[in-house]
Amino acid sequence: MNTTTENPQPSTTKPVRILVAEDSPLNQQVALKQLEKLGYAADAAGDGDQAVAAHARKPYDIILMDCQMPGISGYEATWQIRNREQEKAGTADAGKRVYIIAMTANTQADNREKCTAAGMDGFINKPVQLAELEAALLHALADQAAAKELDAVIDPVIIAGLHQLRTPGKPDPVAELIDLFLREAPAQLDTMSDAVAKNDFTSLSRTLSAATALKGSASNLGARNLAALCAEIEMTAKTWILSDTPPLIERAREEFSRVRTALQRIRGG
Amino acid sequence: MNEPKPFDPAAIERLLKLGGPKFTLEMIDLFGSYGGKKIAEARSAQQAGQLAALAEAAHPLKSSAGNVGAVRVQELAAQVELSAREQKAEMAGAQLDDLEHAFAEAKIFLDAERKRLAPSPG
Repeated sequence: MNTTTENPQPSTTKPVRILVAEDSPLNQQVALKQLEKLGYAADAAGDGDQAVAAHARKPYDIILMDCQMPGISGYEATWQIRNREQEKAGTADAGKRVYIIAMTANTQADNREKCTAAGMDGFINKPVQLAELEAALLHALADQAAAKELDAVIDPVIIAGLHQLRTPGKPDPVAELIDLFLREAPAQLDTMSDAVAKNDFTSLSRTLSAATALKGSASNLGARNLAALCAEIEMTAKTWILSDTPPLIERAREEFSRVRTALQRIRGG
Repeated sequence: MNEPKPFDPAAIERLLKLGGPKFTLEMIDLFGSYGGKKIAEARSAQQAGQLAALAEAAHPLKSSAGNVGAVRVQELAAQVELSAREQKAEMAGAQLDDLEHAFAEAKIFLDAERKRLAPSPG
Protein backbone atom coordinates (compact mmCIF):
# COMPACT_ATOMS: atom_id res chain seq x y z
CA MET A 1 0.00 0.00 0.00
CA ASN A 2 1.30 3.41 -0.86
CA THR A 3 -0.01 6.14 1.41
CA THR A 4 2.84 8.59 1.06
CA THR A 5 1.40 12.08 0.94
CA GLU A 6 3.02 14.05 -1.82
CA ASN A 7 2.48 17.76 -1.54
CA PRO A 8 2.87 19.87 -4.66
CA GLN A 9 5.59 22.45 -4.25
CA PRO A 10 4.22 25.99 -4.52
CA SER A 11 6.45 28.43 -6.38
CA THR A 12 7.06 30.44 -3.20
CA THR A 13 8.72 27.59 -1.34
CA LYS A 14 12.44 26.87 -1.27
CA PRO A 15 13.55 24.39 -3.94
CA VAL A 16 14.52 21.66 -1.51
CA ARG A 17 12.84 18.25 -1.71
CA ILE A 18 12.06 17.00 1.78
CA LEU A 19 10.38 13.83 3.01
CA VAL A 20 9.06 13.46 6.55
CA ALA A 21 8.96 9.80 7.63
CA GLU A 22 6.98 9.64 10.87
CA ASP A 23 4.28 7.25 12.02
CA SER A 24 2.56 9.49 14.56
CA PRO A 25 0.06 11.57 12.56
CA LEU A 26 0.33 14.34 15.14
CA ASN A 27 4.12 14.55 14.93
CA GLN A 28 3.90 14.29 11.16
CA GLN A 29 1.44 17.18 10.91
CA VAL A 30 3.48 19.34 13.28
CA ALA A 31 6.67 18.65 11.30
CA LEU A 32 4.96 19.49 7.99
CA LYS A 33 3.59 22.72 9.46
CA GLN A 34 7.01 23.63 10.87
CA LEU A 35 8.58 23.05 7.46
CA GLU A 36 5.87 25.13 5.82
CA LYS A 37 6.59 27.92 8.29
CA LEU A 38 10.28 27.74 7.36
CA GLY A 39 9.39 27.94 3.67
CA TYR A 40 9.72 24.31 2.64
CA ALA A 41 7.10 22.04 1.07
CA ALA A 42 7.47 18.41 2.10
CA ASP A 43 5.99 14.98 1.45
CA ALA A 44 5.10 12.59 4.24
CA ALA A 45 5.52 8.84 4.73
CA GLY A 46 3.85 6.94 7.57
CA ASP A 47 6.40 4.18 8.06
CA GLY A 48 9.81 2.92 7.02
CA ASP A 49 8.58 0.93 4.01
CA GLN A 50 6.82 3.99 2.64
CA ALA A 51 9.94 6.09 3.18
CA VAL A 52 12.08 3.62 1.19
CA ALA A 53 9.46 3.49 -1.59
CA ALA A 54 9.14 7.29 -1.69
CA HIS A 55 12.93 7.66 -1.95
CA ALA A 56 12.93 5.24 -4.90
CA ARG A 57 10.35 7.39 -6.70
CA LYS A 58 11.67 10.86 -6.00
CA PRO A 59 15.20 12.24 -5.52
CA TYR A 60 14.80 13.85 -2.12
CA ASP A 61 17.46 16.23 -0.83
CA ILE A 62 16.63 15.64 2.83
CA ILE A 63 14.69 12.99 4.75
CA LEU A 64 13.54 13.63 8.30
CA MET A 65 13.45 10.07 9.59
CA ASP A 66 11.73 8.87 12.74
CA CYS A 67 13.86 6.09 14.22
CA GLN A 68 11.15 3.82 15.53
CA MET A 69 8.25 3.14 13.23
CA PRO A 70 5.99 0.16 12.62
CA GLY A 71 7.16 -2.31 9.99
CA ILE A 72 10.75 -1.46 9.18
CA SER A 73 12.34 1.05 11.53
CA GLY A 74 14.00 4.31 10.52
CA TYR A 75 17.38 2.61 10.98
CA GLU A 76 16.46 -0.21 8.61
CA ALA A 77 14.91 2.21 6.09
CA THR A 78 18.11 4.29 6.12
CA TRP A 79 20.23 1.20 5.66
CA GLN A 80 18.12 0.15 2.65
CA ILE A 81 18.34 3.64 1.13
CA ARG A 82 22.13 3.74 1.57
CA ASN A 83 22.44 0.27 0.04
CA ARG A 84 20.45 1.32 -2.99
CA GLU A 85 22.57 4.46 -3.38
CA GLN A 86 25.67 2.27 -3.24
CA GLU A 87 24.31 -0.20 -5.79
CA LYS A 88 23.42 2.61 -8.18
CA ALA A 89 26.76 4.41 -7.83
CA GLY A 90 28.55 4.42 -11.15
CA THR A 91 25.43 3.65 -13.18
CA ALA A 92 23.49 6.07 -15.38
CA ASP A 93 20.74 5.89 -12.75
CA ALA A 94 22.98 7.13 -9.92
CA GLY A 95 21.44 9.95 -7.94
CA LYS A 96 22.92 12.16 -5.29
CA ARG A 97 23.23 11.06 -1.69
CA VAL A 98 20.18 12.04 0.34
CA TYR A 99 20.88 13.75 3.67
CA ILE A 100 19.03 11.88 6.41
CA ILE A 101 18.21 13.61 9.69
CA ALA A 102 17.17 11.26 12.48
CA MET A 103 14.30 12.41 14.65
CA THR A 104 15.30 10.76 17.87
CA ALA A 105 13.79 10.52 21.32
CA ASN A 106 17.35 9.78 22.47
CA THR A 107 16.52 6.86 24.71
CA GLN A 108 18.27 3.52 25.10
CA ALA A 109 16.46 2.06 22.09
CA ASP A 110 16.80 5.22 20.05
CA ASN A 111 20.35 6.43 20.26
CA ARG A 112 22.68 8.43 18.10
CA GLU A 113 25.35 5.77 17.67
CA LYS A 114 22.73 3.54 16.06
CA CYS A 115 21.69 6.43 13.80
CA THR A 116 25.25 7.00 12.61
CA ALA A 117 25.87 3.30 12.10
CA ALA A 118 22.74 3.07 9.96
CA GLY A 119 23.98 5.90 7.72
CA MET A 120 22.11 8.90 9.09
CA ASP A 121 23.84 12.27 8.85
CA GLY A 122 22.21 14.48 11.48
CA PHE A 123 19.99 14.32 14.55
CA ILE A 124 17.13 16.26 15.98
CA ASN A 125 15.33 15.71 19.26
CA LYS A 126 11.64 14.90 19.54
CA PRO A 127 9.28 16.60 19.98
CA VAL A 128 10.86 18.68 17.26
CA GLN A 129 11.21 22.41 18.01
CA LEU A 130 11.10 24.94 15.20
CA ALA A 131 14.50 26.53 15.90
CA GLU A 132 16.20 23.15 16.20
CA LEU A 133 14.60 22.01 12.94
CA GLU A 134 15.73 25.14 11.13
CA ALA A 135 19.29 24.72 12.40
CA ALA A 136 19.36 21.06 11.32
CA LEU A 137 18.10 21.95 7.83
CA LEU A 138 20.63 24.74 7.40
CA HIS A 139 23.37 22.38 8.52
CA ALA A 140 22.16 19.77 6.01
CA LEU A 141 22.10 22.27 3.17
CA ALA A 142 25.58 23.57 4.05
CA ASP A 143 26.88 20.00 4.10
CA GLN A 144 25.31 19.33 0.72
CA ALA A 145 26.82 22.51 -0.75
CA ALA A 146 30.24 21.44 0.54
CA ALA A 147 29.68 17.98 -0.95
CA LYS A 148 28.82 19.59 -4.28
CA GLU A 149 32.09 21.55 -4.22
CA LEU A 150 33.91 18.36 -3.36
CA ASP A 151 32.22 16.55 -6.27
CA ALA A 152 33.61 19.16 -8.66
CA VAL A 153 37.14 18.16 -7.61
CA ILE A 154 36.78 14.42 -6.98
CA ASP A 155 34.41 12.18 -8.95
CA PRO A 156 32.12 10.67 -6.28
CA VAL A 157 31.35 7.64 -8.46
CA ILE A 158 35.04 6.64 -8.45
CA ILE A 159 35.20 6.96 -4.66
CA ALA A 160 31.96 4.95 -4.28
CA GLY A 161 33.46 2.26 -6.52
CA LEU A 162 36.61 2.14 -4.40
CA HIS A 163 34.56 1.91 -1.22
CA GLN A 164 32.94 -1.23 -2.63
CA LEU A 165 36.34 -2.91 -2.66
CA ARG A 166 36.41 -2.75 1.14
CA THR A 167 36.65 -6.17 2.83
CA PRO A 168 35.61 -6.63 6.45
CA GLY A 169 38.60 -6.84 8.79
CA LYS A 170 40.97 -5.35 6.19
CA PRO A 171 42.27 -1.75 6.02
CA ASP A 172 40.09 0.63 4.02
CA PRO A 173 41.53 0.69 0.44
CA VAL A 174 40.27 4.27 -0.09
CA ALA A 175 42.23 5.54 2.93
CA GLU A 176 45.33 3.65 1.81
CA LEU A 177 45.12 5.02 -1.74
CA ILE A 178 44.57 8.56 -0.48
CA ASP A 179 47.55 8.33 1.89
CA LEU A 180 49.78 7.01 -0.88
CA PHE A 181 48.61 9.68 -3.32
CA LEU A 182 49.11 12.52 -0.84
CA ARG A 183 52.64 11.25 -0.10
CA GLU A 184 53.70 10.85 -3.73
CA ALA A 185 51.95 13.67 -5.61
CA PRO A 186 53.96 16.62 -4.18
CA ALA A 187 57.23 14.86 -5.09
CA GLN A 188 55.94 14.21 -8.62
CA LEU A 189 55.02 17.89 -9.02
CA ASP A 190 58.47 18.91 -7.73
CA THR A 191 60.13 16.50 -10.17
CA MET A 192 58.25 18.18 -13.04
CA SER A 193 59.19 21.69 -11.90
CA ASP A 194 62.90 20.79 -11.42
CA ALA A 195 63.10 18.96 -14.72
CA VAL A 196 61.45 21.73 -16.71
CA ALA A 197 63.88 24.27 -15.23
CA LYS A 198 66.82 22.26 -16.67
CA ASN A 199 65.26 21.99 -20.14
CA ASP A 200 67.26 19.08 -21.63
CA PHE A 201 66.42 15.65 -22.98
CA THR A 202 66.75 13.87 -19.62
CA SER A 203 64.52 16.49 -18.02
CA LEU A 204 61.96 15.95 -20.72
CA SER A 205 61.84 12.27 -20.01
CA ARG A 206 61.59 12.87 -16.24
CA THR A 207 58.76 15.38 -16.73
CA LEU A 208 56.95 12.93 -18.93
CA SER A 209 57.22 10.03 -16.51
CA ALA A 210 56.22 12.16 -13.49
CA ALA A 211 53.20 13.58 -15.38
CA THR A 212 52.14 10.09 -16.51
CA ALA A 213 52.44 8.69 -13.00
CA LEU A 214 50.49 11.57 -11.44
CA LYS A 215 47.84 11.37 -14.17
CA GLY A 216 47.33 7.67 -13.38
CA SER A 217 47.10 8.05 -9.60
CA ALA A 218 44.85 11.14 -9.92
CA SER A 219 42.52 9.22 -12.26
CA ASN A 220 42.40 6.27 -9.87
CA LEU A 221 41.06 8.58 -7.15
CA GLY A 222 38.65 10.45 -9.44
CA ALA A 223 40.66 13.72 -9.46
CA ARG A 224 39.51 14.48 -13.00
CA ASN A 225 40.83 18.04 -13.37
CA LEU A 226 44.24 17.16 -12.02
CA ALA A 227 44.45 14.15 -14.32
CA ALA A 228 43.48 16.35 -17.29
CA LEU A 229 46.20 18.89 -16.41
CA CYS A 230 48.77 16.09 -16.16
CA ALA A 231 47.65 14.88 -19.60
CA GLU A 232 48.34 18.39 -20.95
CA ILE A 233 51.77 18.43 -19.32
CA GLU A 234 52.47 15.02 -20.88
CA MET A 235 51.49 16.41 -24.26
CA THR A 236 53.80 19.44 -23.99
CA ALA A 237 56.66 17.19 -22.93
CA LYS A 238 56.03 14.78 -25.80
CA THR A 239 56.05 17.64 -28.30
CA TRP A 240 59.15 19.29 -26.79
CA ILE A 241 57.29 22.50 -25.93
CA LEU A 242 58.65 22.72 -22.40
CA SER A 243 58.20 26.50 -22.36
CA ASP A 244 54.43 25.91 -22.13
CA THR A 245 54.85 23.58 -19.18
CA PRO A 246 55.54 25.86 -16.15
CA PRO A 247 52.08 27.53 -16.17
CA LEU A 248 50.49 24.09 -16.50
CA ILE A 249 52.51 22.79 -13.57
CA GLU A 250 51.45 25.84 -11.56
CA ARG A 251 47.79 25.09 -12.36
CA ALA A 252 48.39 21.44 -11.43
CA ARG A 253 49.78 22.56 -8.06
CA GLU A 254 46.72 24.72 -7.42
CA GLU A 255 44.41 21.86 -8.40
CA PHE A 256 46.40 19.47 -6.22
CA SER A 257 45.78 21.79 -3.27
CA ARG A 258 42.00 21.49 -3.86
CA VAL A 259 42.30 17.73 -4.37
CA ARG A 260 44.24 17.37 -1.12
CA THR A 261 41.54 19.24 0.83
CA ALA A 262 38.80 17.13 -0.77
CA LEU A 263 40.63 13.85 -0.18
CA GLN A 264 41.36 14.73 3.44
CA ARG A 265 37.66 15.40 3.87
CA ILE A 266 36.76 12.07 2.26
CA ARG A 267 39.30 10.28 4.40
CA GLY A 268 38.06 11.93 7.58
CA GLY A 269 34.39 11.38 6.81
CA MET B 1 11.18 19.16 45.63
CA ASN B 2 8.22 20.32 43.57
CA GLU B 3 6.36 17.77 41.47
CA PRO B 4 6.76 18.49 37.76
CA LYS B 5 3.68 20.09 36.22
CA PRO B 6 1.40 17.63 34.39
CA PHE B 7 0.89 20.07 31.53
CA ASP B 8 2.99 22.62 29.74
CA PRO B 9 0.73 25.41 28.41
CA ALA B 10 3.69 26.76 26.42
CA ALA B 11 3.29 23.82 24.02
CA ILE B 12 -0.22 24.98 23.09
CA GLU B 13 1.12 28.50 22.60
CA ARG B 14 3.82 27.09 20.30
CA LEU B 15 1.18 25.29 18.23
CA LEU B 16 -0.89 28.48 18.05
CA LYS B 17 2.11 30.45 16.89
CA LEU B 18 2.96 27.76 14.39
CA GLY B 19 -0.39 27.20 12.74
CA GLY B 20 -3.10 29.29 14.41
CA PRO B 21 -6.23 28.14 16.32
CA LYS B 22 -7.64 25.84 13.62
CA PHE B 23 -4.39 23.88 13.35
CA THR B 24 -4.02 23.76 17.15
CA LEU B 25 -7.56 22.39 17.53
CA GLU B 26 -6.80 19.75 14.92
CA MET B 27 -3.67 18.71 16.82
CA ILE B 28 -5.57 18.53 20.11
CA ASP B 29 -8.20 16.32 18.46
CA LEU B 30 -5.56 14.20 16.82
CA PHE B 31 -3.88 13.65 20.17
CA GLY B 32 -7.23 12.56 21.63
CA SER B 33 -7.95 10.02 18.89
CA TYR B 34 -4.40 8.79 18.20
CA GLY B 35 -3.43 8.81 21.86
CA GLY B 36 -6.59 6.87 22.77
CA LYS B 37 -5.80 4.29 20.10
CA LYS B 38 -2.22 3.84 21.34
CA ILE B 39 -3.34 3.56 24.98
CA ALA B 40 -5.82 0.85 23.94
CA GLU B 41 -3.10 -0.96 21.98
CA ALA B 42 -0.77 -0.70 24.95
CA ARG B 43 -3.40 -2.20 27.28
CA SER B 44 -4.16 -5.08 24.90
CA ALA B 45 -0.46 -5.82 24.53
CA GLN B 46 0.07 -5.68 28.30
CA GLN B 47 -2.85 -8.03 28.93
CA ALA B 48 -1.49 -10.45 26.34
CA GLY B 49 1.96 -10.25 27.93
CA GLN B 50 3.45 -8.89 24.70
CA LEU B 51 6.07 -6.53 26.04
CA ALA B 52 7.58 -5.61 22.64
CA ALA B 53 4.14 -4.55 21.38
CA LEU B 54 3.58 -2.63 24.63
CA ALA B 55 6.83 -0.69 24.09
CA GLU B 56 5.89 -0.02 20.48
CA ALA B 57 2.50 1.37 21.48
CA ALA B 58 3.96 3.57 24.23
CA HIS B 59 6.80 4.96 22.09
CA PRO B 60 4.88 7.28 19.71
CA LEU B 61 2.74 8.55 22.60
CA LYS B 62 5.84 10.05 24.13
CA SER B 63 6.67 12.62 21.47
CA SER B 64 3.04 13.14 20.43
CA ALA B 65 2.23 14.09 24.01
CA GLY B 66 5.19 16.45 24.05
CA ASN B 67 3.77 18.33 21.08
CA VAL B 68 0.56 19.20 22.95
CA GLY B 69 2.22 19.77 26.31
CA ALA B 70 0.90 16.63 28.03
CA VAL B 71 4.09 16.36 30.08
CA ARG B 72 2.89 13.68 32.52
CA VAL B 73 1.69 11.45 29.64
CA GLN B 74 5.03 11.97 27.93
CA GLU B 75 6.97 10.92 31.05
CA LEU B 76 4.80 7.91 31.81
CA ALA B 77 4.84 6.72 28.18
CA ALA B 78 8.66 6.85 28.35
CA GLN B 79 8.61 4.84 31.59
CA VAL B 80 6.22 2.22 30.19
CA GLU B 81 8.36 1.89 27.07
CA LEU B 82 11.56 1.47 29.07
CA SER B 83 10.09 -1.06 31.52
CA ALA B 84 8.58 -3.06 28.65
CA ARG B 85 11.89 -3.09 26.79
CA GLU B 86 13.66 -4.21 29.97
CA GLN B 87 11.10 -7.05 30.33
CA LYS B 88 9.79 -5.64 33.63
CA ALA B 89 6.21 -6.71 33.03
CA GLU B 90 4.82 -5.92 36.47
CA MET B 91 6.35 -2.46 36.61
CA ALA B 92 5.20 -1.69 33.06
CA GLY B 93 1.66 -2.74 34.01
CA ALA B 94 1.59 -0.42 37.02
CA GLN B 95 3.00 2.44 34.97
CA LEU B 96 0.39 1.79 32.28
CA ASP B 97 -2.33 2.26 34.92
CA ASP B 98 -0.80 5.65 35.72
CA LEU B 99 -0.47 6.44 32.03
CA GLU B 100 -4.18 5.77 31.44
CA HIS B 101 -5.01 8.05 34.34
CA ALA B 102 -2.66 10.79 33.09
CA PHE B 103 -4.12 10.51 29.59
CA ALA B 104 -7.65 10.99 30.96
CA GLU B 105 -6.45 14.06 32.86
CA ALA B 106 -4.67 15.39 29.78
CA LYS B 107 -7.90 15.11 27.83
CA ILE B 108 -9.69 17.22 30.45
CA PHE B 109 -6.93 19.84 30.25
CA LEU B 110 -6.98 19.78 26.46
CA ASP B 111 -10.79 19.98 26.36
CA ALA B 112 -10.52 23.19 28.37
CA GLU B 113 -7.94 24.48 25.88
CA ARG B 114 -10.26 23.40 23.10
CA LYS B 115 -13.11 25.47 24.53
CA ARG B 116 -10.81 28.45 24.92
CA LEU B 117 -9.68 28.25 21.31
CA ALA B 118 -12.86 27.15 19.51
CA PRO B 119 -14.86 30.00 18.01
CA SER B 120 -18.00 30.56 20.07
CA PRO B 121 -21.21 29.65 18.20
CA GLY B 122 -23.19 32.47 16.68
